[in-house]
Amino acid sequence: MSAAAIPADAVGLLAGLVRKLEADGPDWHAERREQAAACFERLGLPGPKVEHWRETGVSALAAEAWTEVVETGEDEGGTGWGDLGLARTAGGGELLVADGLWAGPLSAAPEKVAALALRHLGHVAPARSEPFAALGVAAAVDPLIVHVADGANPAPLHVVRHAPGAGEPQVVAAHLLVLAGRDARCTIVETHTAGKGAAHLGIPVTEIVAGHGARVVHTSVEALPETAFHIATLGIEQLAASRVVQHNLMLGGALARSEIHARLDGPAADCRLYGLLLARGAQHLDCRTVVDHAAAGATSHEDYKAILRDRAQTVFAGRIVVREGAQKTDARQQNDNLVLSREALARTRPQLEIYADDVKCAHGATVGRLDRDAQFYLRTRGIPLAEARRMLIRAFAAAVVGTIPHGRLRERLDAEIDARIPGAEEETP
Amino acid sequence: MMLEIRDLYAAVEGSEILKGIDLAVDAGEVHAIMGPNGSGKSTLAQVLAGRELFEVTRGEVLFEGESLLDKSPEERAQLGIFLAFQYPVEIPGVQNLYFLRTAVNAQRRARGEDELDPASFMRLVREKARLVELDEKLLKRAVNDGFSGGEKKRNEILQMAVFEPKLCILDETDSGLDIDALRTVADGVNALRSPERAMIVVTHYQRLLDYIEPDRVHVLSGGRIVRSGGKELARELEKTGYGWIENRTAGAGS
Repeated sequence: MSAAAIPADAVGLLAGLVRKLEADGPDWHAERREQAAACFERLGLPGPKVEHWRETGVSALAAEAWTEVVETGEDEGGTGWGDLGLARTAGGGELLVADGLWAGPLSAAPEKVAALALRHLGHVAPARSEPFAALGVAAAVDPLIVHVADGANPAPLHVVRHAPGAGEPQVVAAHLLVLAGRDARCTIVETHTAGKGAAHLGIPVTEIVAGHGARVVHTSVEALPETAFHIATLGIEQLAASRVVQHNLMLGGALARSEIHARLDGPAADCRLYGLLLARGAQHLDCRTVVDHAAAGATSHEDYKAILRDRAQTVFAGRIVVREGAQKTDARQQNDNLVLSREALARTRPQLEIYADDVKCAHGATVGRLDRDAQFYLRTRGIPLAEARRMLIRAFAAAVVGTIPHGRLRERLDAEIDARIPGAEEETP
Repeated sequence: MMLEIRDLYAAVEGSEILKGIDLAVDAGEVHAIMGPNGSGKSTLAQVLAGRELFEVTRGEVLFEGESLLDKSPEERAQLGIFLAFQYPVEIPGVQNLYFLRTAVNAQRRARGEDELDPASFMRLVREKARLVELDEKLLKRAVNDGFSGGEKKRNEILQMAVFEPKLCILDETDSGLDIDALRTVADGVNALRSPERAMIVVTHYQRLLDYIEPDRVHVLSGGRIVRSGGKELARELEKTGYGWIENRTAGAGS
C-alpha cells in the first residue's frame, strides 16, 4: 500500500464509525462507549515513538478504508474451532442459564448482573490508556456478560467469536465481561475466527473479575486468516485468594497483538499466564503482558513460547510491577522462542519494576533453534528426521499446551503445531 | 562378517580425527576399543551411528555386506545398529515411554513388521526395566531429563534391551558410574550377549572389561589402531597405562 492511500484521519474515520452505532443497552453504557470513543481520539493510533508499540507498526491498518463495524456471531461455515465439545454461546442476544451461570447480552441482564456490569465494564481493561482497548469498548454495542454466582461451578463455556466476512473492510467488535463470584469456578474458552477474504480488524476486549477465592480458567484462541489485523485486550482483576489461569494462543493474523493487563488486588491472589505464538509466512505476532502486584503475598507465573518459521516475527514484552507494600510477592516470567528459519525474528523484552524490598522476582528468556543433539539422539533410535522434529517441536510447546484442560483443544493445537513444521529442506543447518 | 571398516578417515571442521581405521567384527564377538583421551574412540562410535558433524573423507564401512556411510542415522538404527551414548541427551517434554514406543514402532515399520500393541509394549518395557534395574518412575518422566549419571546409562541399556539390535556400540558406558551401577549395567549388557549379536565397547579404562569380557581388544591412538590383541591386552594396558603409545607415536613422527 502506498503512503498516498493512507486516509488523512484514520482515527477520525474509526471514531466516526463506532459513534454511528446505536446501543440496545442502558444509558450508562452508551455514555461509557462515548467516553471510550473520546479516549481513542485523544490517544490516537500509536506511532513508533510509543515505547511499547515500537516493534509493531499499525500504519497498514490505518491505510484500509474501513466501512463498517460489526459484532461477531456464530460460526456457520465451521472453521474447525467451533466444535470443542463445550456448551457454546456467541453473545448477541443468546442467553445461557445453568448451574449458577448467567451468560447473555448486557441489554438482557438481570438487575444484579447489570449492577455489577455498571461497576466493572470498560474499567478492568485499560480503556483509558490503550487506544485499541478504548476503540474496542466504544465499538461493542451489546457486550456479552458472563456471571457465575458465589460458590457455583458451572460446566465450561465456549464463546464463539466468528466474523463471516463481507466484501467491505470491517471492524469487528467483541466485548466480554466475566464476573466470577466468591469461591466460584469458571472455565471459558474464547475462539476468534473469520471468513477468508475481506479486510478484518478485530478489536476484542475481554475483562475478567475474579472474586475472593474464585478460580477462573480463560483460554483464548486467535485463529484468524493470515490477512487479518487483530488487536485484543484482556483485563484481569483479582481479589484475595483468587486464581486466574489464562492461555493466550495466537495462531493467525497478518498482524496480531494481544495486551494482557492483570492486577493482583488481594493477598494470596495467583495469576498464571501461558502463551503460545505460532508464526509463519510474513505474520507479525505480538504479545504484551503487564502484571501489577498491588497487594502483598500474591503470586504470578508467566510462561510464553513462540515458534517461528519463514519470515515471521514475534514480540514478547512482559512487564511486572511490584508496588510499594506488595511484600512477599512471588513473580516469575519465562519466554522461550524456537526459531525454525534464518529469516524469522523473535524479540523478547522483560521489564521489572520493583518498589518493595522483600520479594522474589525472576525472569528468563531464550531464543534458539531445534536442538541438533536431540535430533541426532532420536534418529539413532530409528525415528525418522521428520518425526524427530515433530516430537521436539511439540515438546517445546508442551509446557503451555499441557496446561490446557480441554482435550479436544489440545489435540487441535498439536495439529496446528504439526502443520507449521517446515520440511527438512527449509531449515538452515 | 557383520561389520567391516576399511581405511576409514573422518574429519570435523577440516581437522582429521580418524586416520585409517581397519576393523572387522563378526556376530557373537565383543570388541573393546581402548585408548587415551583424544585418540578418536568416540568419533569412531559416532561415525558408525551416522553423526553428520563428522565428514568421512576416505574409506568404507560395510554392515552385513552393505555400505553404511550413505545411510541416515535412522536407517542405520532400523538395520540394527545401536549406539549407547557417552552423554545421553536430555529431551524435556518428551516422555520416556512415548519415546521408546515411537522408536520401537518406527524400527518395526521400517522392517515391515506390525507395530506392537500397547499391552505387549508395556510388558516388554517392564521386563527390560527390571533387567537393568531402572526405576519404573523414570519411564513416565521426560527422556533423561534430570536423570542422574547412573540413571542415564541404565536408560541407554534399557533401550538397547528393548530394541534388540544386531550391533551394539557402547561409548564410554562406564564413565561416571559407581561400582554398583557399573555392575548392573554390565549385567544388562552381558544378558544381551548372543551368537547373533556383536558388540563394540569403547572405554578408557580396563575396569568395565572386568565385567564385560571382550574377545578382542584394540588400542586406538592418533586416529589409528596401533595394537590389537586378546583380553590380556586390556590388563597389560591397566599396568603400563597409555604412556608407551604416546612415546611410540612421538618416536614414529620424528
